[in-house]
Amino acid sequence: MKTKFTTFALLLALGLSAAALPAQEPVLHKELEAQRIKVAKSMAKFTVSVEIDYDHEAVRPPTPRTPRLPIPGMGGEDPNDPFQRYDIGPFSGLIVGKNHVLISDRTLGDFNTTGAGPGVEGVTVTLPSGDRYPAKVVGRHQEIDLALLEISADLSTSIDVAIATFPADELKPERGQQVFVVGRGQNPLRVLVNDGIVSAIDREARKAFQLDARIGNATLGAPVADNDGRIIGMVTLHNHETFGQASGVSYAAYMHEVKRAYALMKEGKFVERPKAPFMGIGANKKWPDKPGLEVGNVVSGSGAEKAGIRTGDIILKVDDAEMNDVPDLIAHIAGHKVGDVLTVKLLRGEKEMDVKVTLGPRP
Amino acid sequence: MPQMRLKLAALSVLALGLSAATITLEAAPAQAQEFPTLKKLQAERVALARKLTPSVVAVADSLPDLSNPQATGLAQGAAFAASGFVVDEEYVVTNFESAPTNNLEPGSSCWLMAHDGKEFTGKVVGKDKRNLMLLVKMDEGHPKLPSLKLANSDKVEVGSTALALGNTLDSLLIDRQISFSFGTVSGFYRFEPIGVLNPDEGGDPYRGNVFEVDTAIHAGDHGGPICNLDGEVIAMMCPHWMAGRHMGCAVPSNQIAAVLPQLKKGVKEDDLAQATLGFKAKYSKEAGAIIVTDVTPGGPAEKAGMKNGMHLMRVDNYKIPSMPRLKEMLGIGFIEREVEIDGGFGRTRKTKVAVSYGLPIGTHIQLTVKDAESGREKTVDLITVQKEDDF
Repeated sequence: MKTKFTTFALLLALGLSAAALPAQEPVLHKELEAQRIKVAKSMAKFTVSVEIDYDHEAVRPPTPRTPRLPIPGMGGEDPNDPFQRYDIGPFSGLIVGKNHVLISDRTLGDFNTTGAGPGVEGVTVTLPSGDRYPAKVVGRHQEIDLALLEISADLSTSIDVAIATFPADELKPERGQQVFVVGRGQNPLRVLVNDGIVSAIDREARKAFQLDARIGNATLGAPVADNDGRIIGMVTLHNHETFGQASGVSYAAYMHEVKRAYALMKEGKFVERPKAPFMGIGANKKWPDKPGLEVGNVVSGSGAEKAGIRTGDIILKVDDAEMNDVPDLIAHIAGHKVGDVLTVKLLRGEKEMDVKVTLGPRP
Repeated sequence: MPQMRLKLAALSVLALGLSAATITLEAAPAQAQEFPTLKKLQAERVALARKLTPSVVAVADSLPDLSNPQATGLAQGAAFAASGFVVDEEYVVTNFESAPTNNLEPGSSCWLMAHDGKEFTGKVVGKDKRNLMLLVKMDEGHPKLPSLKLANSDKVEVGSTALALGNTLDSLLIDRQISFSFGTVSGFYRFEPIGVLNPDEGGDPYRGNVFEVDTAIHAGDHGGPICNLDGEVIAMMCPHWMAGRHMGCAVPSNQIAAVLPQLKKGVKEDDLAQATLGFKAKYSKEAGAIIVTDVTPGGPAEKAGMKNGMHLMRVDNYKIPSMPRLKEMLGIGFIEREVEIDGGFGRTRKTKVAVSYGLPIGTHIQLTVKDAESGREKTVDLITVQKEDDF
């Protein structure tokens, strides 16, 4: 009996000491690593590399960017020169149909109802196999920052699997949930993975969620997968500014929003982002002790010019709201739509007058 | 429910009766038991950090003055302070591109510090600009430090774990700590100009592959190892001359492994074996394209399915502007070019800048080729090998 008890106590003590020691082999980490690689591989079938040929003379860069510093003497004026490359693309794309690929609309330049913006000379899609195909822009949806490309290759083998991984209904991730961004970008033969968590949901007019995974140009347009290997979103609406408070915040559009946009674009629809209302004046607070704002400049062709507002006029009221500071005016205009008519009370010299200004779209 | 409670009570009575050890188990804080997986993960990381730390050293060109606690390595008199890792028992691999100035050349001696603060010296035996690496042989009487094995970096996949160990901001000199960071490999690149200097200021035109890692890499870490979960080196950390990009860059271990035996033998920089892709290219006026010729049987190009007469369209997804440019893009041989740089006071001056030192052996290159007959384009992946005549 006594020996039995000592053996038991010894075993217990051994077990306890083993539990107290740190694990020597990174078993769990290896498991995690294997699963991460597996997700990357399973997603790799649906992502393609999309390259856009810009005429750098004609096109304004599609996204705010910092050009990579040209290296004097190492490159000519050729924008395709790798030694003088600008930080724009290649981008990622998501296979969604038999010969359809979705990309971020921002990469295509200014809005154009017949295809890519002026200055975009061509779009090329490189499939995971390495085959390259020229692509045609068949639809754009600026509200959610998506564009639809059509290529001649038959992608049905990929898409059968891809559709199975799209969630059937509206699926909103939870904050803190793990996500994987799987892109292709510069390396068409190899995938690019950034993992992170969902930081916030219902951003950007409730069409997107925010994530903390690193997003670069290469992963713009890449699918976002969850732990179950489902595609729950697509990287769009990304803020590329290098500086400023919003720089580098990553967003992904919900998959149900993407599907809705895809259904529209498949029919050849081009949806432009609603333009912000625009009055067409630059105003400043010249005299702190006097009411009103002084008009510094008037944009030609704007609603303000058509209404007869001149430089030097003092804006006292807009629609009975007193204008004592510039933010007052900005907030008032932002509360209206394009096409709304505002009544502006002006002071010109000694004379007070009312003018009607129709808000136009912000150029 | 009452039954459950009874059972629980019976169990706890049993446990109390067994031994004092079980009581301590029960007395453990309840919170700690709620996240067993997180605790296990943490224990694994701690074990990895302990296991790998002794193989990492700090490297400097001269003994820093440690009497000034405010100053860091560079301010303490050393012109160059970096990290390195031990390979093959008596060698240390480090990066010579960690500081704008360094006077470490083959033959010069350097100062090293082990993880526990032991100082010793070494001698630079080899330098390979193509891989931005220096090889240091530790002098006799050096402390016994465990060597790290070089892993096969071709097996590294996107999503693989990347553990970084280094002398971050001289943490070893000041606080006797090797810093340890955890992350993943997130991409593979070429044409990412790494090195501490902008190439037009005399920085190095590195033409090998770059692993992008999301692990935190800072000044002082460069030259340190990036390890996998098996504790093998998959890459060596390197600075990026645009520090604002916050991009963690590293040179793959296969490129280092390919040149290591020659550096150990003391082969001079200019005599190191050259890399080849196993084909030649020339511009053909009739075809209006660059044509692949002389595909070596059994070479990388043939293995990738390239044939004589194919049109070479792109290198790493970039159009080929001209033949001289193609040479630079493929990084064939040493190429120098005269450039005009800002000389200050509104004047420019001319200087010579190397645009290529040649490709490292083991570099992955993507080529897009077009079959002249069918007109189909295809992108293939090639790995450079050592030139035959150098064997």
